[in-house]
Amino acid sequence: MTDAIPQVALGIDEGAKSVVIIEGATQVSSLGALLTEAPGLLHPDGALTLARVINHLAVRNDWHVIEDPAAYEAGYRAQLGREDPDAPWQEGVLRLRDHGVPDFKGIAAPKMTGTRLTFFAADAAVGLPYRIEVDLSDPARAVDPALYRAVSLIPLPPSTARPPKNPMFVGATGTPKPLRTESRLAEPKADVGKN
Amino acid sequence: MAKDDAALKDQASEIDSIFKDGKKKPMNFALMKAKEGVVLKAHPLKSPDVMFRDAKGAGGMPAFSCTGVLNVMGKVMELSVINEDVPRTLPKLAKKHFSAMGIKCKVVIVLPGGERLADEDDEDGDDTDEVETEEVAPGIEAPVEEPDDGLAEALKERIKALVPQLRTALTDGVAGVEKLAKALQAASAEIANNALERAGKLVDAVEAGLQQAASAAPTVDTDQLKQQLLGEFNDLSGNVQKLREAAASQVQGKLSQISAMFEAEVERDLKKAGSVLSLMKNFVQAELGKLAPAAADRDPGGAGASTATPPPATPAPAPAAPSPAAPVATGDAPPAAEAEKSFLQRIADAVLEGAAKVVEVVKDNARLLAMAGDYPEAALAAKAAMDGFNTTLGGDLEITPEVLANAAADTGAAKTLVDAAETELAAASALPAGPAATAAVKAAEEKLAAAEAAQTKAEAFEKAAKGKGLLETAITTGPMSPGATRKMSPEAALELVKGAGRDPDLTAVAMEAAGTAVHPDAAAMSLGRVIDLKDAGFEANGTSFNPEYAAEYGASILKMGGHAGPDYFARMDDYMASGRQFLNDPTGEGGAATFGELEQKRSLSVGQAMIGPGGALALDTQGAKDALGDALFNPDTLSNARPALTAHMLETVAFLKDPANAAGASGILQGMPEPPTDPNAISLLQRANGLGPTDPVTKGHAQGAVMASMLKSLDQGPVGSCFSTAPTRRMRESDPLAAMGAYASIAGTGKYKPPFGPEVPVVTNTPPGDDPVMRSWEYSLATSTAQRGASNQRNQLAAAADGGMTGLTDAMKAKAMEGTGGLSPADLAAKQLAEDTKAALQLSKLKNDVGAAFTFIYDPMSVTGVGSDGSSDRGRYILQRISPQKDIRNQADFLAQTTEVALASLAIDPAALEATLVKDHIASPAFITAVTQIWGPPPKKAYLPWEMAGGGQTTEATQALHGDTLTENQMTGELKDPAPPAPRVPEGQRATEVLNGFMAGMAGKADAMVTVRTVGMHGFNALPNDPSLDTLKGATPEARQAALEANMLKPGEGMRDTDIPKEKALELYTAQLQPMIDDEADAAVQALLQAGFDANKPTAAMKPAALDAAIKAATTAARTAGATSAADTWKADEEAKGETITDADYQARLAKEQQERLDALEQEASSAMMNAVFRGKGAPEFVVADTNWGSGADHTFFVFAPDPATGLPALWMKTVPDGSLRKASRDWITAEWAAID
Repeated sequence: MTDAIPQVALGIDEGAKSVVIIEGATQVSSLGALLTEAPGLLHPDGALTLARVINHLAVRNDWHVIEDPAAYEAGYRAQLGREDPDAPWQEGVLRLRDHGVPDFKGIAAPKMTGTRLTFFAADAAVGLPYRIEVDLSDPARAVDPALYRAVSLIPLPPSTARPPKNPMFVGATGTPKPLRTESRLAEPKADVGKN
Repeated sequence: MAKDDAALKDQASEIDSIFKDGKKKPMNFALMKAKEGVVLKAHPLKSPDVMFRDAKGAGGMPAFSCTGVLNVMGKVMELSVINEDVPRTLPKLAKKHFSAMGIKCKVVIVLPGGERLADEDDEDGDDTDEVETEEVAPGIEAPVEEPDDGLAEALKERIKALVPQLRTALTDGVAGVEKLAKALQAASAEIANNALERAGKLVDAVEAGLQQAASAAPTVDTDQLKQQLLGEFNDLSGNVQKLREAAASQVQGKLSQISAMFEAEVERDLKKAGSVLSLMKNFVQAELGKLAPAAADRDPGGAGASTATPPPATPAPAPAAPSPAAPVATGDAPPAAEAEKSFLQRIADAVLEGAAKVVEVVKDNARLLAMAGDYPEAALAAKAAMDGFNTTLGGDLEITPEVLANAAADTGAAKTLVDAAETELAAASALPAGPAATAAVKAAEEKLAAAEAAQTKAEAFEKAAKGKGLLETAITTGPMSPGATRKMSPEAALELVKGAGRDPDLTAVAMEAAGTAVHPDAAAMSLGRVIDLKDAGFEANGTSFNPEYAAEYGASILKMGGHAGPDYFARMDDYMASGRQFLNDPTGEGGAATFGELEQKRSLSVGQAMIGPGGALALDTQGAKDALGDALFNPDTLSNARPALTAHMLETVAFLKDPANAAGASGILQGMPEPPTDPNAISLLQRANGLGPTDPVTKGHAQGAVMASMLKSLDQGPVGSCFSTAPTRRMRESDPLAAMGAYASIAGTGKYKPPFGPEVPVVTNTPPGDDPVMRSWEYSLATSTAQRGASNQRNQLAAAADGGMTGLTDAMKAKAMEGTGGLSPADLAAKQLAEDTKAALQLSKLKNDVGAAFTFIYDPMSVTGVGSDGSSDRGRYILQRISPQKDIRNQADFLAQTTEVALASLAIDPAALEATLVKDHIASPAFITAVTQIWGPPPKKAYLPWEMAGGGQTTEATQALHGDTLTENQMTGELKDPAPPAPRVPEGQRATEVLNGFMAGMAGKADAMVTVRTVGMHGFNALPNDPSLDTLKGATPEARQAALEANMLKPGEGMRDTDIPKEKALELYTAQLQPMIDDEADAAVQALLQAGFDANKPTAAMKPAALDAAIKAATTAARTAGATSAADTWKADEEAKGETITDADYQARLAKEQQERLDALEQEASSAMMNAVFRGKGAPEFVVADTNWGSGADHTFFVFAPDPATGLPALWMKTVPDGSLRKASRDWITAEWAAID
């Protein structure tokens, strides 16, 4: 047990469970055990390490901790730049543009305030940002994947192009008829034949 | 004398019949004094007036008579009469006369004021006790008074009390009461035998039986019944007024008497009031018929009104009579009322007398005889209608297209003459007043009258021709023909026949709906009402449509209602009364560029109106009703009819009407944030509500958008995804409130979390015009699915890495242990432990680092194979190194990247000597084996992370939404067709395998929908409990096979062996080939097609396979030419790219081109034959799945039905409406079919 911030590595044990290796020598499989072994991690300087550990124990490699917000923003914008702004949504194609852009000012490196750790993570499949806030005084609850909450995004203008036609589609197609302009109403009968 | 005896016997028989029938139902009657006694005539439908004439004709004395309604209760004949001036001796006279004939009964005459003239004071000395002691039914008598002890007396009292109850029950026709009567009779016998215990049990049983019968009898809401009777009475007021104005004073007097009688009875005896009302209707109808027929014809709402409105729940004496105004005879026909009366009487008589009588009436018409099996009343009505048409047409005219065209031309010409005459009259009227003007006006008026008469006659002729043609088609090959597989109700058939005489054009629409619409009865049952409305120009508040538009509008309503069902028509009258049919574009959908946009506006207008104060659901406000009515009926919405949307709206409203569902929906709506603040949600809501990008949105906008999404069917339109549509559509159909929750989350928070997948910020890039909230649900689910899918793939890679890296750390450990032989055992053990620990930690870290270094992306364009139709199967996961980013598509790349990751994880310099061990191990066969055999050694499939299996993400999307424990289970394996021209498994055989696999896979499934895949093609939802599958189900393969043979194969044989008439065969042949000839750009090929067409024309009736063969033969040369040309082009293109094309390559390509052309031709030919010859007329259809494909206009299903050419099962795509079938291409049945459950 040490009050210093230890070196930790992330691993997967023989039972395919996520584990944390402390100082290359001790392997633990829960946040509670880690904090018992290394209480120094609760120091504000341990925020990044703890964020990695919590991310690993909660969702392993399905999310990556955003350690450098500027780099994340740069990567996000670069990806947006590679995406066709006029492309309609397409099945199986994952595009950040379809979802929007975060307010990058709101995305920060992991930060500890008292026992509350706040960090952001990007999902590994798309790169969308999530915000995670955990209470370290409850280590078991702190590794709950449900704490990964999607960050609100600012939408980009949707594509004005129609998606490509589905060649298998069977059914009616076409465009609406314009509204009828001529009168449908009955005309009053002319009163004829009377002098 | 013998003759007199015979006549007496006939009279006795007739009166006996009346007595018996009078016990079953009230009858109209006439009673007259006669030379010998009385004459009594009675009938349940014929008017009292007719009875009066009949009685007079039978020797009755009109001066000593009465008419009215006859009822028989027990042995009492009660005669409720119209006239007050009844000879007071008539009851006594009648009783005596009946008695002389051997019919013992009591006769009571009830005067309009309620006074009863009875026969108590007659010389026979009958008294009222007779009723109490009479035989209440054959064999039932009150117990004979005998001295006995107290128990016997008590039983007798109980029996005495039961007698009148039993009599009433018998009169009312209560089921099973005859047995109770016998039991009571037995009880009396037991008392007489002093077997009191048995008698007591019998009496107990009778009491219990009567009590049960009473509790089972439907209760009548007397207030409602009274109101209904009064309403019907008031409905007659128009015609009553006509009679008061035009009929003879005697008729008027009688009318007043009946009217007074009704008003008296409705306050004291509703049953009698119903009888009197029926009498009044008949009387009014008969007397109106005697007036000028034209006067009656002009009356759309009186006697001529349709009977298609809901029938009265009155205890009316006569069966509901068909519309007396169904003008089966027009123009020169006999007076309408007389012809109609005869027609109705014949129907009523025949139906009352049973099937044998129906057959007798129509026996000279084979088609009607065939029709009478399913639709006896309609068959009789059709006969009468045909007679009427022939009268108008001047004989049994064959209705040909020429006849119809000439009739239309004559009507047009007659109208032109009328227009000219009106112009002339107008000109004459404009002349300065004076004798010349008067003469001119008179001449013009005469001319106009003549022209109008000619027009009336021409219109009548055309109408009769159309009606006859329509009916003949309907009963020969249409929905009322014996071969029609879609049966309508007898009532609906009768309405169609009646409609053919009233308005053949609208009836044709209803007839079409009966044959193809979802609800075969709905349009027919409302046809009469729609004709009424059309005839009145859909008038409301003094505004009406012109006749041409009214007819068009009526047709639109019938078409829509046929698909939407009875609930649609139930809302029609309220809407038409509101006058909103005259509003222009009330839904605001005018100008919509796409149907998606139009449907969004239409559903939003309804959805917004359904949000009440406080955000709760409010379906019953006038605003909500008006908005829904506009969406259903307004002419502007019907001009862009969206039948599937309409049906879905009505289904949704019905669902939300349920209080529990309404509460759930209100909770969802009220729980939405106020106001929405998420930028993505705001963007979606702005578009959903047609707002600009800077317009503010409120909670109301969000709620309205959610309702708009709920009111629309969730379909995969002509564009879009299938893998997320299938599970979302399934949720919308099977758990609407869960779907509503998803919409609310998207519209309210801009986030969506599927039940078994991660939350995502919603997709906002939705197609222009489409419902953004609905599409966002599908697309956002796709993102969550991808995250989930990639996670699964990473876990799989980690498992593979586990095997490979274990070997690596073992090798490293062995290396580290080299040269430790000189250590002491203790040191050696310590070293070993240290290395073991180190290796374990290294391995733990390695596995994680490999997982962290790679990701999986789904590449929808990655080609995984070539389908049997030559198209590519696309879509699979691709392994990717995250940093530096690199797609890994082969083993070498995989090994190289893995080596880099491993060295980094182990902190080994790639250039260092110790890196060699890592590199060598990862390059070794052992590593490859460990990675690729995670599912086991061959023949297990190898895991190749650089070459992932193809297929869509239907399974992952279904798991994300419906359960992460769902798995994909094969129902039928893939069939690989050999390259053409090698023989293939016959289509019928393969389709049978797929159907059998489906039925086995779906056996016992309770869900309405189960998501399925045709792997590599499509994801959609099976319908394991579609009613059409009931006859194919079975618990065992043997039972299913027997069901298949009986319900699919046998009808298929019938289709296969059907002779298609020559004309029909030629029509189909031409319809398929002529467009090919016309569209062929290559003149030489066109000439080949023309020559083939000419050489193979059908010249006689032929079976489907022969027609198929003729079509193939006609196109053989052209297909070969086309295939050769395409193969040549391909060869030239390939060689231009530097490829070497051998002759074998060329021949293979040519065979493929030929096969494709043949397959396409067969697909078209089968589809055309099925739709034109067999659909709805003998072809069984088994709906197995919902394709997801659809729009507000229609929806498409997968259906198994026989192929007409082979009679064997084939897979079809059925689009509803209009129910048309399109044969699925072969790849749909060669694919693997799998269920996700």
